[in-house]
Amino acid sequence: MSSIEFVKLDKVYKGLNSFHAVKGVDLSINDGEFVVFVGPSGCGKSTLLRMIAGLEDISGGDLYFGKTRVNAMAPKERGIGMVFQSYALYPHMSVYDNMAFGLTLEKKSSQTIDQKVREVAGILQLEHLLERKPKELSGGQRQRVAIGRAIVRQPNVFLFDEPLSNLDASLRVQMRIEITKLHQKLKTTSIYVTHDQIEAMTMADKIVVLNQGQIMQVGSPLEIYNNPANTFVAGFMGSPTMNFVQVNAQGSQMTPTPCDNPRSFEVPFQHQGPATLGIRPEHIELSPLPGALAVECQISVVEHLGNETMLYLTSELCEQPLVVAVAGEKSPQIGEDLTIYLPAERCHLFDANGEAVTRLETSKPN
Amino acid sequence: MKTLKLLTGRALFALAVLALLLYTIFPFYIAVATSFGAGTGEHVYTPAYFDLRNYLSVFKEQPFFHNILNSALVSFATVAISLLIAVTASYALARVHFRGRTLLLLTVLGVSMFPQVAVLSGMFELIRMLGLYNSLGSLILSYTVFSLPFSVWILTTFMRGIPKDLEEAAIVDGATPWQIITRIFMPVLWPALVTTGLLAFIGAWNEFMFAITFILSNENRTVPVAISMISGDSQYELPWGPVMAASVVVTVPLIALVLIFQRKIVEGLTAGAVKG
Amino acid sequence: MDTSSIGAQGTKTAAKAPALPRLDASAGRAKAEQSGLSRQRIRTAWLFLTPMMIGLAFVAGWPLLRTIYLGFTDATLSNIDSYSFVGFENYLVYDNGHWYGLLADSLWWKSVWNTLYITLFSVSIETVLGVLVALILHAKFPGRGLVRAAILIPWAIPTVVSAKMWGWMLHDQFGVINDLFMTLHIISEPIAWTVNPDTVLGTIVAVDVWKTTPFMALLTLAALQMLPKDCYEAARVDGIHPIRVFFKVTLPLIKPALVVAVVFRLLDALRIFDLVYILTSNSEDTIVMSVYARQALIDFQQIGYGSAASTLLFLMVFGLTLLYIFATRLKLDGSGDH
Repeated sequence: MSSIEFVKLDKVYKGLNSFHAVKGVDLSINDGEFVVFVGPSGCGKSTLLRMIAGLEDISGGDLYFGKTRVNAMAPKERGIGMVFQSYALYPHMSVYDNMAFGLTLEKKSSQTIDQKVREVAGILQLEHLLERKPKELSGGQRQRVAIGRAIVRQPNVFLFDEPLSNLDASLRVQMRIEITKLHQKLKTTSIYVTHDQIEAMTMADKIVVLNQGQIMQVGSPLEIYNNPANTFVAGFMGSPTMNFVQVNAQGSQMTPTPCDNPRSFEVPFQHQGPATLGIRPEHIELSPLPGALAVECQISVVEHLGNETMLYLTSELCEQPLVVAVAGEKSPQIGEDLTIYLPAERCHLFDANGEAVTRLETSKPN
Repeated sequence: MKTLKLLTGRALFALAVLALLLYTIFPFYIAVATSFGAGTGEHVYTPAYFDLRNYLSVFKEQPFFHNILNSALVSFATVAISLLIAVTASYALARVHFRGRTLLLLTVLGVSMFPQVAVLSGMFELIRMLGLYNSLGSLILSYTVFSLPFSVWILTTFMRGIPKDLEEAAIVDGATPWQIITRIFMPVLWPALVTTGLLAFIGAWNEFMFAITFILSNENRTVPVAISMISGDSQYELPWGPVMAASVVVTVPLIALVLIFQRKIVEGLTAGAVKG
Repeated sequence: MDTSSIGAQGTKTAAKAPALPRLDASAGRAKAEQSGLSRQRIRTAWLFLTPMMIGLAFVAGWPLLRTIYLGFTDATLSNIDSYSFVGFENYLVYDNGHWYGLLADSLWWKSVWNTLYITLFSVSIETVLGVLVALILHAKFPGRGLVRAAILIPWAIPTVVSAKMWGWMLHDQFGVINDLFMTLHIISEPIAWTVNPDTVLGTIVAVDVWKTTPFMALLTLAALQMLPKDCYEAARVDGIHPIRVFFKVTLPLIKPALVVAVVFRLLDALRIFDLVYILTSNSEDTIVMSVYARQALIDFQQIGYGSAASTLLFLMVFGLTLLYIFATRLKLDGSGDH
């Protein structure tokens, strides 16, 4: 097992289209932690993972496993196991040989190899598939073999590079749970890269949100959800995405700027000047609440998800439609007028640079 | 009316296919027929007898059996050596980023375009220097180097097609580049190796200019030269029966290879040219 | 496993790695802080390339340079070890009121002309034929696989054999071609195809076309099979005549592949040797550059003069190759981005 320390890690791709993929990343990962790197494509999350694996050179900064600096170590010296998005099973080898390959290269005795492979096959319920070739397996089975290949050598760190994105939806949920269970059993430090925020929220001990090669926020899933550090995290995590309203702040009084008839309302923040107010669709109410801002809207689009219904509303608050999540049994009509209520204590406030303004502790969200 | 048009279309197409088949196969048919006596007297297109006299005479009057062995030895050695060198080289060219890679690829492509006669005098010197004149070694050496560029070229194309993840999985598993080649890439790429080997084999089996220049004695000749040297009693009249018999003997293995590996050969030719 | 043991492993392996300073040039220029992988990979790459580079350098590069050098000397086969430098005398020299040398030899120019004639006609005819054959094989019909294998036969037959075969078929007295053509009343009396100066070049072109059309056809067929189907379906829906579809849709789409195939064949045809050598041996009517050069080198034992001729042929092929490489350069740079 191993903790991991990133100190000002940099990755620059040289050449004609020189590209700064990872910019000065600092991060500590505790021993045994399950960490998820999440972000839009091109944010540097996979590059970062591959730097940990040793598959990409580190252009600057230091990477430590425990107290050992591993910048110059080859992948096999780092004691890692990796699961690839495409599974990357060796097509000409049986499941057994796929899992045994790494151990064979270490010149372990065939008895040790057999014991370890069978043990891992047991954990992953692969015993009956050991003699098959990868092409005779289903997607989920291939994924399990890929995981088995990674854990059979008992690595210090597991690396997962979007391992579930090739699976269909129901299988993805099932494998998600299996990986989580496996981590609870093995307690090996794991780093998991995904662009799927549901995977991030459900699996992680710690989420690292990345954008354009920089860390946007590090925190537990609930911290990220409840206290996004900036507009990027607020907008990226959560589905549908958070509503943003441009406001002018005077102390705790917020005045929406695009409105023709400006009305101010009070929120538990202190700020001066232009700012962005954010509120999640699931926190907007349809019935009056004390201290909530009432907004008259018109329904422009209705999306039925079954358990929930998403309403896209036009209002004078902002140019983009406001999104509201309501219970699934309601059946509003397009074109209908509607009054919505924004509870003050559910709001988030971001300054002109998009950084979160600290919430005053006087009124807590219930 | 419409069916009539369709039918004439079909008939014309069948005719075209038939003409194509006739065009490609007829010369070889004539060669076979001649080896059984066609072309003499009334038998212009059909065999005159069905015994092996011409075949026997080829093997009796010259060291033709020896020549076949020479050709086989030279061709197999060429295939083995050039594949061995090409596999490692194409791994480096296809999978590793390094300075000068494009230049090297272009050089390889350039060498595959060399006219043989352009290196003939220099090669002649080299072979005499190495003491390989009039030995099969001279042919193995020159054929290997001449088949190397296209082997590297074709294998590079195929190696580029292997997913990056597969190689990285092996790296994480602790495989060295040599282990990646021998334990992952070669098993995955064996069809491409067969293809490349076949093309190299056919090239070596058919080569003429080096073979006629570097080999002096009858016993050391390869079959193309041996066939070109078959002569009759008079300077102006070739013994066509034996010549055709020898031609058939030399060509039959190639035709067998072509029929068996048709798809693979086409793949290799295409990989070398279209995708390259 | 604890972290200190990983560290120990790391240093051990690093110490074990052999030092290859000369091959490490490109890695050394990059940042010193490269992971073991990248450095080792580049080092291994050069190691893997070494046998090929040695082979090409010694058995292709060196002989080529020697050929070019010998072209400026008076070396002969019988006296290959002592020769003197003669400058451009093998190419062109003015002596005693006359021009001598390769460029003043009308036979050399005839060989150039013949080579170009054969190349031009052979490649253009086989391109047209090859496309036609490819179109036939692209259609679905029973036995297509067999026909496709059958057209590979001319390609696989050794050139020496095909030259002998055709030499026999074109024989003036017993050849089947004369018999066939006379039966069909195409000709009234037998023609000595490979001897008659009026027919011999055309004959060589015809035999070369027979041998190399399969290559053209298969490359074209591969290109045809990669074409998107929807174009054709759209054209069929629009009711466009198939011949128009061919010229407006198919031909432009397969053009890149066709160009590559034509370039390959052009380079191949320029160095034509076996066919001409066997079919017409030493006839001056059909002499081509390779035959001319080899004749000077081996038969006349004039290594210097023959090397000069070889060098000129090489320069022609080299120029054409360079032209081709520059035309496709971008494609090469873009490929293989892993």
